[in-house]
Amino acid sequence: MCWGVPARVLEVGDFLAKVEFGGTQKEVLVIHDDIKPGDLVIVHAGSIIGKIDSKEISRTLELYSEILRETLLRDGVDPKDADKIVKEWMAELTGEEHG
Amino acid sequence: MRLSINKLINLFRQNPSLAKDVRSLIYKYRDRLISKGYRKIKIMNFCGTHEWTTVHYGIRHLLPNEIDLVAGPGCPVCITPSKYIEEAIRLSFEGVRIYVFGDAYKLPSVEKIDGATSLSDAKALGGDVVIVYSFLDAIKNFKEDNLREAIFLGIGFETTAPSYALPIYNEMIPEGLYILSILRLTPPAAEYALKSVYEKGLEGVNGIVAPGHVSTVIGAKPWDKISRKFGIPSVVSGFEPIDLLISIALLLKMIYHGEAYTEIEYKRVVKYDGNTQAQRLIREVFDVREAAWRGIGYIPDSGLDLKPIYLNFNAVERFDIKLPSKDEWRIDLHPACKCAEIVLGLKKPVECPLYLKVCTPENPIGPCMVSIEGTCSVWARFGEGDIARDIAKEIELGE
Repeated sequence: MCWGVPARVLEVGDFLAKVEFGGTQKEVLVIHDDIKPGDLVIVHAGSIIGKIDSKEISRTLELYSEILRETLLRDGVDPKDADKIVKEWMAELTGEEHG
Repeated sequence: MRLSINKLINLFRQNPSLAKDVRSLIYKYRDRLISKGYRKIKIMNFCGTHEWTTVHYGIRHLLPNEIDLVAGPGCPVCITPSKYIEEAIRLSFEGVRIYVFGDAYKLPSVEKIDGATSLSDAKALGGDVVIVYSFLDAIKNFKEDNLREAIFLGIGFETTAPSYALPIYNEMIPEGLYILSILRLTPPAAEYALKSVYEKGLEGVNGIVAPGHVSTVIGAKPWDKISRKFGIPSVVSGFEPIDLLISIALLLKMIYHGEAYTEIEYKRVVKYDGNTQAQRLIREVFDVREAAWRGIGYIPDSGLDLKPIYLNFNAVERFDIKLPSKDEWRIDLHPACKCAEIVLGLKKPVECPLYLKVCTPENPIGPCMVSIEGTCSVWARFGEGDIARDIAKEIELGE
């Protein structure tokens, strides 16, 4: 039952905020000290219970790219090509979607 | 960095190259643990969503045979005492609207009340039952329909508790809307389950996958305490398949090094101290007390009751809803149902005589078959436990 859904904050009021998940907008309770429009949050049973920390995502991504690079090198890929593949992979992961 | 939600999810979900790398890490540590004398490595989770991820993405089948992933108490719907459902059915027939999460709508009661053994039955027979997504939606509906009296069934763990505490604390609740607090706490149940495994003489648990969203609220500290007490590591994990694989790899590494503390894998959301505002709200509104768990009985300090100053919102006071005392407590399950043992990680769904024979997601007999995150329901819907192979063998079709 502890299902949490990532959502983007659109507006913030006193106790309530408007969030968007997958094209659906919903009014939810804010149970967090530091929420502002644009934040990525976790919504559970109609409440924002946590914030998704973009710094931590960057650190995780760096860790992933290191693992990917090592794997590529182990598979005999040229270091220059490996760097290029990692860069493309990162760009694809972090790039904003269009449309 | 501005990451879209889809990108964020796919990073931890659709990432086969990373999954393969983490899997090879898991096999590496499995080999090391075997050379250290381990024959089985038992890892227990305490969240229905983790069990869902495990089964839905086939995580068990990606792991070596020596690693046994066991589902522990992680489903608040599964352990909601039958008596609460019986009282809610009775009141729904008396014209009191009952607000319930969809997840508990079909939760079966042991006693039949005027022909109904669930709130879904009650609704079909004319009871006033309304499914809601949140407490907030119940408040809105109560106002819109201009009701005199209604009850919100406050099921949940620490994750859900703040969403009840905030409206109560800030006086956002209209007069006549009552809450029945059936809130339960995860760490005391985790301790109870870990002890039960030892007491039953089963192989002990070697590592804990700690619940990500419960820990978003309570932090990692309570798990660290349990890890140190039982001498086993724990990892607070996210809910995507890659999160879970990384958490298992981390646990194996910690088991290998004999470490007994908590690591956080789900760092993008969980802080060591948790959500302190949510914790404060819970402390302001609720008192911790000994509480009954369905099929299991009373567990010390494992429930949240509304504080006496919130008497005006308390359904227990207004409608005189009483649970049997500790001495009067009787097992509130179908006699053949193994839900209690399944919740405590002592048995698997396939070891229950009712599982998928008479107890199915469409027609649940035990509470673990109801919630979309109940272990039996998850296993039944996604085919965990090799039951098809077993049935084939029984009718002499398979090997």
